[in-house]
Amino acid sequence: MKTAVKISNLVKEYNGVLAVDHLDLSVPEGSIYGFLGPNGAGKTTTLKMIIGMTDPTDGEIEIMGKKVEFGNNDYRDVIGFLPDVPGFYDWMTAREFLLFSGGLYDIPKEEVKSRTDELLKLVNLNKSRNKKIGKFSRGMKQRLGIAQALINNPKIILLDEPVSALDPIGRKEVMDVIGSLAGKVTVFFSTHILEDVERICDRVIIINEGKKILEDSLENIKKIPDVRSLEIELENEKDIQYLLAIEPHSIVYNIKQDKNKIVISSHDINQVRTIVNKIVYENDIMFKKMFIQSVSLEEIFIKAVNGNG
Amino acid sequence: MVMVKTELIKKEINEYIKTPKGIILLAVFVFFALSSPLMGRYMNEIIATVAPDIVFDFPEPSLVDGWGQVFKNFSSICIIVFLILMTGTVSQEKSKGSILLVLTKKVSRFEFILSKFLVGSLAFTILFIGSSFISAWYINSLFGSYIYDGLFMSLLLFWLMGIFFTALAVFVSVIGKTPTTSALMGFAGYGILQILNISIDLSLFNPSGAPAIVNEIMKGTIQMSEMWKPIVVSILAVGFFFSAAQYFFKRQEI
Repeated sequence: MKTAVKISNLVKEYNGVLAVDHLDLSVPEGSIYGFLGPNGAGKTTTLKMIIGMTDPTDGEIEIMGKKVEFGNNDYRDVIGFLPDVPGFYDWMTAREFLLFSGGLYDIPKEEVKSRTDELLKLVNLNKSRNKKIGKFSRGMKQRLGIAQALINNPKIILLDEPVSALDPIGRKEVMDVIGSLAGKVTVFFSTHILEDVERICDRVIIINEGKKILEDSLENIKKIPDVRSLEIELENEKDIQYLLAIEPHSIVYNIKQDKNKIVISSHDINQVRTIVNKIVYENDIMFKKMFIQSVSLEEIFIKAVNGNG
Repeated sequence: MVMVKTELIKKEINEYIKTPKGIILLAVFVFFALSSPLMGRYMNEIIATVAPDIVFDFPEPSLVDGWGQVFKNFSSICIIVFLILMTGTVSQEKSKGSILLVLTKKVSRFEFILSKFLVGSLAFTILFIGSSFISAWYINSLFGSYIYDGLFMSLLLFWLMGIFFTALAVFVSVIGKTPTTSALMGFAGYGILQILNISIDLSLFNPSGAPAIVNEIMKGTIQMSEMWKPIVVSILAVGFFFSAAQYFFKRQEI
């Protein structure tokens, strides 16, 4: 698989403070890549270096094999960018802004017009095409922001916290649009909202204090935690005592009980399952359900950011 | 290599037409183009009304007084309003974030500020020519004539001063982080240059020296052969500030 964005040993220093600390990452072409980190982790600084608006202190950035140099706009044809709070010209209509954006590339006028109409439909702004942007809601502005980032039919779009300032409805609308781009364009998507990453990304990097903590596919990242939990619900509350007997066992990390429900966390969940099955069989316990809890990205993120990843 | 991005020029022109910016400038320039000759014509009467007990012996106003009032209001109020609006041209885009949406497209930083400077100069030129025509027509109505020796040189010097302030505004707009800091820097620059007009010898080498030089032209106390100095100085100052704006903007992290 080709690499859309490659970052090697990227450093950005502001007055002796490292905002980005020797960062390496590789975004496969066609993927939806989640760039995850808490506020102030260095996500926006990294994105601004990728788009050539900030000069790296050290390191290299390549976009579709072309080296990015501060102030050079040679690679702009292949990228689209949406900042966290896009500043539009409020006096323009959505259609005017897209025509203006398209006119900044060397694209024939007719193509810009048809692309504008196509994108207004994609981001569900066709009915508001002639409305002044100043009257748009935040969600509408973000959707217009995605449309302008796609106007040149780029190979990669870079989105900086595209939904963090939106209400739940606006967030869903924007996430649906981003999700619909899967397979059509490489999406590099920075956020601190884990739910959004879980929903649409197929590859994730977690950074903190400018440093990479984890980079892998979402599937592999979720396998990483060594402590997993088994949730068991029994028919009778009194039978819980048999299962509580497992607590002194060395493989058990934690046990939580709530009436007829018990959650056992362990470093070796399979061995716990074997022991539980044995207790159930020996004591003739009836249970309603038993399942291994899925690991949320939030758990992984907190663990990684706290230095346990 | 294409230096001018037509789409940017169109956008800048539309911004003057579709936002209050154009209306404000038009209103200020037209108001003073009309009111200044009137003030020049009736200044004696105005003073007599304000201070009826004092007897003044002023000469009968002439068309030179009409133009004098026009240039006075133009170089103070009109230029200041234009400067304040122009100083936000880049800094406002930086603070609002719209600059990122433009500069991440196929647009060079040079093309970006060139469009700002060209359209700013165009707007100023249209406003200046338009308001000068209005003033000339009104002075002609009030005084029976509008031409004095050196009128066209006076207009040329004021026009050059406006273009110089356009370049200065683009420069402070680039180096200022917010529209307020840019406006303050622009205003400070205007103030310093006005102080240099205390001596006509300095004014000849001051890109903002038109008010003092034109005053001498109207009095007939300056040789036209001296006029190459302010013209050359103004052109050089425009080139200097635009180049400085380009130099800093190219190196600026956004």
